[in-house]
Amino acid sequence: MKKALVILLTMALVTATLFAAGEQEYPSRDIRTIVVWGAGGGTDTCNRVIMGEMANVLGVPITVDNVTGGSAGSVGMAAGYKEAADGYTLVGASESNTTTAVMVEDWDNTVDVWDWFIVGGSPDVVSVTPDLPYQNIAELVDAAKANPGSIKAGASGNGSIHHINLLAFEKGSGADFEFIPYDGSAPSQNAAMTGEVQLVVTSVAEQAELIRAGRLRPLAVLVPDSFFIAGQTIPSAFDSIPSLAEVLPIQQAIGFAIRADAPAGVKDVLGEAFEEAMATDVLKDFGEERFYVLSGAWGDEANAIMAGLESSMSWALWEQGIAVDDPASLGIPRP
Amino acid sequence: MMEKTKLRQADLITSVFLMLFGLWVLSEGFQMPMQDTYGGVKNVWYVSPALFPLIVGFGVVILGAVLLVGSVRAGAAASLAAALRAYRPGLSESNLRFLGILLAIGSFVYFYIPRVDFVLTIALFLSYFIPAFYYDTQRDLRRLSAVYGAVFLSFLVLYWTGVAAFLNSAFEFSTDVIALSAVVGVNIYARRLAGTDPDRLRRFRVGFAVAIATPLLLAPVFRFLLYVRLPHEGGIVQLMQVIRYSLR
Amino acid sequence: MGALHSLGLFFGHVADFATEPVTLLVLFGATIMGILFGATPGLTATLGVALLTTLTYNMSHSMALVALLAIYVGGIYGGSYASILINIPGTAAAAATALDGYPIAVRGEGGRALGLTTTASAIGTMVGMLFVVSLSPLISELALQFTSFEFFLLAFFGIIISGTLTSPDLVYKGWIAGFLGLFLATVGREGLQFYPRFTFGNSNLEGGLEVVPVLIGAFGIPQIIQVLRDKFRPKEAQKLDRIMPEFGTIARNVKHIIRSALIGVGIGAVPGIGEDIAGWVSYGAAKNSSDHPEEFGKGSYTAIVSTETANNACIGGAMIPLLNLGVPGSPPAAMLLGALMLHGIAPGPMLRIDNPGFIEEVTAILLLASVAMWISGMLLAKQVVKVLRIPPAIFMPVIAVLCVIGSYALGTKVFNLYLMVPVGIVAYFLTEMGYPIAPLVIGVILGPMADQNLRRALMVSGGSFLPVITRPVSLILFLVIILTVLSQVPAYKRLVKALRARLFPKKAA
Repeated sequence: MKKALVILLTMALVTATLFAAGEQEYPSRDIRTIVVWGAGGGTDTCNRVIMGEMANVLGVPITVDNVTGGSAGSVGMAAGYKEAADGYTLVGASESNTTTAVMVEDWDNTVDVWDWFIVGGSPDVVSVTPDLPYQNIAELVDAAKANPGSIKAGASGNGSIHHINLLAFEKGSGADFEFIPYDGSAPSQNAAMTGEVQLVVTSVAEQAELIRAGRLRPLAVLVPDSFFIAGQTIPSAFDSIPSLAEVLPIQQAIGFAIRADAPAGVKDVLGEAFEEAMATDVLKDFGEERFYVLSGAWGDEANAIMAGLESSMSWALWEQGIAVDDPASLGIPRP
Repeated sequence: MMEKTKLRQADLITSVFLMLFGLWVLSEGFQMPMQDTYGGVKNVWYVSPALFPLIVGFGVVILGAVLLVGSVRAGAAASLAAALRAYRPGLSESNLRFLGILLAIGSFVYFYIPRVDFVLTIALFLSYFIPAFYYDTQRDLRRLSAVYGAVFLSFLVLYWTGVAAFLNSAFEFSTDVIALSAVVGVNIYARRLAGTDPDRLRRFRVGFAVAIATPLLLAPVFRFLLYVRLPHEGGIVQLMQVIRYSLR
Repeated sequence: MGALHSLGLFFGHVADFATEPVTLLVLFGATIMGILFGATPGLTATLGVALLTTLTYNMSHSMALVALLAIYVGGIYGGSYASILINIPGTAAAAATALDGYPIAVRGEGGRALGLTTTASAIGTMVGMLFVVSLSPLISELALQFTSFEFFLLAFFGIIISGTLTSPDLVYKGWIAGFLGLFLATVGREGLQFYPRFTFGNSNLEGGLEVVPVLIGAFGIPQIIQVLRDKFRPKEAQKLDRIMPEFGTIARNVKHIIRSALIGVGIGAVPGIGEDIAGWVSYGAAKNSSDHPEEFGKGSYTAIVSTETANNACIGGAMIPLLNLGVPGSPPAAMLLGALMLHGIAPGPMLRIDNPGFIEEVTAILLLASVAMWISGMLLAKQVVKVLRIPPAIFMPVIAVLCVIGSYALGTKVFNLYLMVPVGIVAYFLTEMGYPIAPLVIGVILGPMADQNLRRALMVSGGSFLPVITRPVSLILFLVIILTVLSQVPAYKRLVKALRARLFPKKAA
């Protein structure tokens, strides 16, 4: 009995010392990033790259888990928000997660509960099946106008950014397509290759290999600047249809977030590591090879970008009748 | 599987449940949008989200009816009535074992996992679950279940009254300390139940070793080798963490 | 680039990898880790690849690829351990193996079953690999024939198979279980219009039910309850003299192995669906074409050889669209796509031009991984069978803990555990009342695919079913479905028998 008591006391003492020693400066142990979208997707890949580099800078392992489900990634966002605001839990998210507030009944936190770090994004591109006659975006729009609803357009459904871009494109150009929703970008691109749909809207990053191989014919990017890929220039849709500028661009923004109420010191350590990681060749090569436009914004700048996306995407979803909560009631300004 | 007459009796009861369930699925299905546009998609019957639930609902109702007819033809109604009349309240050994399993798994999943340190949770669960069945007598099962049930009840009270939250705000690991004492307590009781019989003592020792070794092996492997966050990382897991990162 | 050049590259890679001690260490380490992952209920190959992706971030791309493919191959194979020994599928891919694997283990022949599935899995992986290296451009073009109609018919075919998994009691109890599974599949926001069905405002339900907790609930919990409640114990395994490969049994089942491997490659190549479906489809096909269909479900060696060949052949199949189109053919392959991009390799039609020799590298690794899997499997199987000697009252509680960690680890959601337990209790009562559980799981896996694709297909065709018979692949699938349904009808069976007797009078006699 005496022996047990001694052992117990020693253990308690060791524990106390260890806990006291454990109060070191951030980060003193592994960091976890909860990616709210599935493995292998754009948000997942971007986060794995940036976290891989940041881990090298910070000197602690950073693990990346996928916690998917809910609408607009709400399950993962909620899981990340539930954890302590100590900087040991980050959330890997994208522009589509700015709609969680309007999409989910029991979640009313707008994007300002987070502090954002934006790695970058890839512009959306409108492409068609290569054996179709349309050579440029104007021809496509004319054909769609001449015969409303005759052209089938594929994109991932569920209020994804591609769906919202497609809607904005229809609104801005006056063309009317029949929308066929898919489970994600890859299936929608597949459908455009098989000819099940005639046109598809996804990001350049997702389509790059198919464009390069001539499996899809890119007509225009939905951003103001044209995009250069594999020896060809994809013109901006704004050039031939100036009215698009009123509703677009709604641009992808992939990155990660930390709870806004985390200590400022922690955010600064992360911010510095983020900047250092963004400046590495690995990130630059990644952006170039995978056709991402790198951003590197964090702090107020990034928060403003996400708030803007929240406004345009939330209102678009509300107008479509997909959103469950009125953005006005949540204090989200109209775009 | 049960024997034939009992099966038909069970079919009679499940068929009613199935048909009610099918009707409920149908009623929910009919409330889903079938026209107009929803989510930017034009709706026609074949696009409606109601299509599949309605197929499933009809299927379940029809199969439920077939089941009902089959069981009635086999004379289930009469035999069920007879069985009900012959029913005597009381716990058979098989049902007792069933309840013991439910108590173990239910308390483990719904209560301990989200609230108590993962290592202690598993240790507590196994400290009850293994000896309760390994000792292999009805008496031991009853007694261990009573003790484990009492521990579980006091935990419930602790959390429902808010005492747990209060204690944890004073000292972060209060509930972990309580859980640790529960693990010790249940094991002391299991040891006393084993008595002096060498075979029972051996069973206690093996069970105890497995109950303690399992979480001490699993938690570090998942937490530090595969970097999987554990459901609730209380005192013990945090202690492991401190040790792990002071070894860096 | 000639085939000879390709072959030269391939053997060059094999020789390079096989002579590098570090590579061999990583190869065997990852394979064994994969097997352990697969063997633990709930830990899937997908999760294994996902976790290793983080751990291999700082490795060279070749080394990372060795680790990832090895854990993929090991994970798909390892699922059979738990299926055979404890009737709880280690992964969804091995669920079909449990139907016959466990009855074999109960007979006391668990070691023999493991030996056979090890060889079958290795053969399956190698056949898949052969297809990657030889026919992959052709197959990836075929994969592009799959539009919504074909996806629907494929899912429908899988669901029809439920009808062939007969209940120990009444035939239509299989259908009831299937419909209950389909109901569970409708829970959540559906994929077309995003309308919430049966979610009760709970955001955890909006994404739909995940397969792993349902699978573990449906198979694991009933097994735990049964064994502990009824003090059930499989027969002590016989002395394990027969764990060696048994080429005789393999040779006898060669026709089933070839068919299953082809099914596995085919299903793997179809984008988005993977090993789990391959296992079921090949089980159904093997049963339909077997001379002794009545043995299926009671411990047929043909059944386990078929399912295990198919799910491992699926790996190669899934690599084909991944490497040639950049479209992952299965869930673990989707994870692999992300991992490759991390290492600066973009799979897709341009891969052959950007990274010449990469496909040969992948096939070389697949070959080595299957060899490593076979060796480790043969060594491990002997040890693993010993778990059956552990008293159930110790073993089952530990299994319960593993089931819980497994259901939790993928997605780290406690909600999945809350879901697992009620599914398990309902499944236990259904099992007691003579309902087969497999159709329920098939319903959950295939329900969303059937639902979405049927509606999308009709949307594209404007409500017409005509494409079913005008599209070539659709038509083939449709005819296969009709034949499968007919083969269940006694009158048709008699007709075929009579016809056979007429046409080949000698053989019938």
